[in-house]
Amino acid sequence: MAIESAVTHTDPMAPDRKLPPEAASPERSHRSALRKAGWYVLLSALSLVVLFPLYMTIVRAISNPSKALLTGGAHLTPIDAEWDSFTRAFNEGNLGRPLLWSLAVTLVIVGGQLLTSLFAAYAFAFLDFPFKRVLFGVVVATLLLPIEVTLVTNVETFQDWGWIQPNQNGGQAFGALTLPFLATAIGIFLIRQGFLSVPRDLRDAAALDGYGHLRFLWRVAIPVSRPIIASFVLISFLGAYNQYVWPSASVRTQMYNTIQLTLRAVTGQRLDQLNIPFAAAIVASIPVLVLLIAFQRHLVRGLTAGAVKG
Amino acid sequence: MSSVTFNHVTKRFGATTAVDSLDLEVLDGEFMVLLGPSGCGKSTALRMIAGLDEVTEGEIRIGDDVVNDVAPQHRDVSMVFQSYALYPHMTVRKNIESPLTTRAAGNLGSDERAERVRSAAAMLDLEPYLDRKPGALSGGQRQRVALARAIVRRPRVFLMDEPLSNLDAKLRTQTRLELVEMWRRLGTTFIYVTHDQVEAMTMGSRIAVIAEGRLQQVGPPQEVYDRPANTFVAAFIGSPPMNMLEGKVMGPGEIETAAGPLQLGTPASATLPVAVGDAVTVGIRPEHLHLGGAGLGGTVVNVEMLGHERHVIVSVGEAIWTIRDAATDVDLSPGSEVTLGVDAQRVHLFSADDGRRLER
Amino acid sequence: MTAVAGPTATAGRGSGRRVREAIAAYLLLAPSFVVFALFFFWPLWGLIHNALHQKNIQGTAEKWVGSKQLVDTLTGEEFRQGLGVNVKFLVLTVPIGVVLGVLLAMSAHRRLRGIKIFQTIFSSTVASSVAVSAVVFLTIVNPEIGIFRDVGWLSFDRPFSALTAVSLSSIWRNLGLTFVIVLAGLQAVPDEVVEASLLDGYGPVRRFFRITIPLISPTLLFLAVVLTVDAFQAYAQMELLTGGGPAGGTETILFKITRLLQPKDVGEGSSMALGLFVITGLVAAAQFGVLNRRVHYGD
Repeated sequence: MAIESAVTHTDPMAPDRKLPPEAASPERSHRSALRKAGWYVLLSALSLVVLFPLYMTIVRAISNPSKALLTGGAHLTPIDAEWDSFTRAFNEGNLGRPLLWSLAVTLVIVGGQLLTSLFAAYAFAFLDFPFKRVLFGVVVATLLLPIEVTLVTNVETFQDWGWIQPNQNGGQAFGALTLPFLATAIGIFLIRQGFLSVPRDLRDAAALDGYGHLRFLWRVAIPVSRPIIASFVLISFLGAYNQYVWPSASVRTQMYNTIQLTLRAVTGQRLDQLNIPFAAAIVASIPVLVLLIAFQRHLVRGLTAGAVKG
Repeated sequence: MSSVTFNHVTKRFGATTAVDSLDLEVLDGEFMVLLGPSGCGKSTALRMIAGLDEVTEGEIRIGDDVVNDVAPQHRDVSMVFQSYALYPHMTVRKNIESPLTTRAAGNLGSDERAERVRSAAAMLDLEPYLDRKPGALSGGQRQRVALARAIVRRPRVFLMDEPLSNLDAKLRTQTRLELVEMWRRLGTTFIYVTHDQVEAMTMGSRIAVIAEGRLQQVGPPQEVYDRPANTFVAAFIGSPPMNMLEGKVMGPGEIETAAGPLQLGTPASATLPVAVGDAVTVGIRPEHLHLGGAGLGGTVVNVEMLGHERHVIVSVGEAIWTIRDAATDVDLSPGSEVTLGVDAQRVHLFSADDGRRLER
Repeated sequence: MTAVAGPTATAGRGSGRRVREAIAAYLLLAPSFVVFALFFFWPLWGLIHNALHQKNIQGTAEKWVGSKQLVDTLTGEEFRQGLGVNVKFLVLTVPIGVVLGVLLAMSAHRRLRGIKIFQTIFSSTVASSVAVSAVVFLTIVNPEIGIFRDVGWLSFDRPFSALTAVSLSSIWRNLGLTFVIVLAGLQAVPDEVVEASLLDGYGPVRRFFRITIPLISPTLLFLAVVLTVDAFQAYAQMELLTGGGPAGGTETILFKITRLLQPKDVGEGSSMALGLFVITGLVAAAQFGVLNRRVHYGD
């Protein structure tokens, strides 16, 4: 269909990774080479600083814990490194279960946020209705309410429902972990931006062709806004997966710890199991790293929505 | 001395060659226009003069100095960018003053700086706006600020990269005049890049036509118009563009085309460097054709009325030609057959192989 | 959703159509608003309510105490100490965070072969959560196994040095975010403006302070506010690294709130939360007000 084909060619939000102009000073070739070398040195030094903590973590994760203990525990290079240490840490620290649990919780949150945000953004972008501005203001207002404001009462709410209590079961924990986050103003905001950029002409053509709301949403609005939706999914995932405060307040049984909470649980470890916390940190980061590498392009847009003018 | 010389200058960006062995001399004090379609390398050539792009091969001189390795601020050139590139956070005054505040400008006292800023602003009617920021100015005003900033340093050479393209049509015509006046007043070398051949023709003392990174022709406007060096220049300059048709040489001064035979008439045609049987491209400008008279035959496709004249669009052989006709009252309907008289002195011949002009 | 209603507000809209559109809109908004009402606005009311009431141990009864609890808590030792921790933490992390972000972004914003690799490395800390970055820094600052455990100004024995150690983990964690944000700001500066400054003769230092910084100032302001709000919400990194530090010396307000979730403490916890909320808002607004004047917004 003509409209759909028009849709695939519009990408109004494509990130533009520009490089700066050649900082000209066209020196003689060897002076220029010296300058370049200087920059590489600086960049490498900075990279080492940035990567150093990660390096240390990997070192500790794969070192043999008992041998490491003998050296006092503070070592710069791996001690008797074997992948076995890592897999043992994984098993003894029981890291698999919280990881899967976290992923499940995160996927439900992201899915929920995506759905509710798509619907709400559609309404704000394409429909006209009374109190539209007021309601949008209400949405923006939720951004002003930080975790400390909502924490206490939300805990109380779930306690009233019997979902947060010492004998918490899996379903209750899951519900408490996911329910408060099934909608978000950021999602509505971002996706609405994307929807608003659907060219007026496209909307008119769709109306003339008799597109209903659902069809328009699925066939036109979403494809056009794909990049911005991807950005949102990325930051939504990051936010949900990396959460600590709410899970620490709402999960009452160790069994239902998210991977972030597991980090707390394993950090008080006995000294002869030193590699476990660090293996846990690495395991916790893997899904995020994978996602970031896959969605790199969309990261910048997601993080800077609001920062850069124009 | 503020001449600018390109000596076999080549610029490559990775695998792409933007400028290919350019040899060009811009004379001291002239208004040289670098003309060509988008992406032809003219802006790159300009930026190499400024030092914003490095030269891959060859040599650029300003005056007698080779400037390949000289930093932009030490070349004593000013540039007006297409987007004006004003500092949005500074007032107009500070923008204009900016080139004078750096060490490269030498050590000017604050009095002298203020004086130069004032006189530049006066020359460009910017005095009422000195304390405004660029955001509060119109496009035309911003462009003048860019000009003021360029002249305040009194450089050897002025570089301009399509400075009029962001202005609306009326402002463009007016500013064209002002720029030429400014050039006359300052007497400095101006190098001006544009894709608009009207600007080139009306402003330049000489035009350098560039396509695909290579210099096609350089010369005064009238010369480039009257004796284009190849089919590219012939088609690019002049509006409506030159009409062209394929043909074959039948004898001295005789060309056979799909629309009929063409006589070139003058005895000098005997000295054309062509042999019988050679394939050529014939070119003739719309104003050198007239309706009626013996000559080529064609069919009217459309008539465009312009008020003071009309453009008659005629299909001639496989080509579509435009004839400028002053007779606006004679009826001509699409489909009617016409014959076109040709001013034999004004026919251009180009080689069908490489488009090169065949000189008489 | 009716199949007939289309996406544009065009002509031919009778009141029936309008009603249907409004109903569709409200239906679409309902899911989000139910969540907002339950988990954002109800808690706001609950917060104020709790701050003004005191519950018993089982949470079965409560009595009105008015603003006394609020005032007592906010002027009390616990809150002031927590606020002090937050403020010191803020001072330790925000300015350095912005400076480092600028440093990284300026270094990586240039035409060099392989620059994308460096850009990826610099942004990589975005992958670490607060908890992960805290655990990662155990390898560096922990008194038993950290390689810097003997460094005096990172010692866990004294509150301020312990806080400094915790700050390191947060600064590191924020590097990726600040880098990405500042880089985006740098990329938004028009090339031609930079080139004009080259021709005008601005050397690199002068160009940095007179041209680059003013032109990325909105970005820097945004960054400062984001980092500030983040600093006021610090909690996990303290819990994992110092457990609240020597004698509660690294307990931030949020940290204390999470220890006040029992029914009898909820009144106090809510009072603290309210205080934190207001203070965060005021500081962010002040930052905005003070710095905004020096920020240049483009045309």
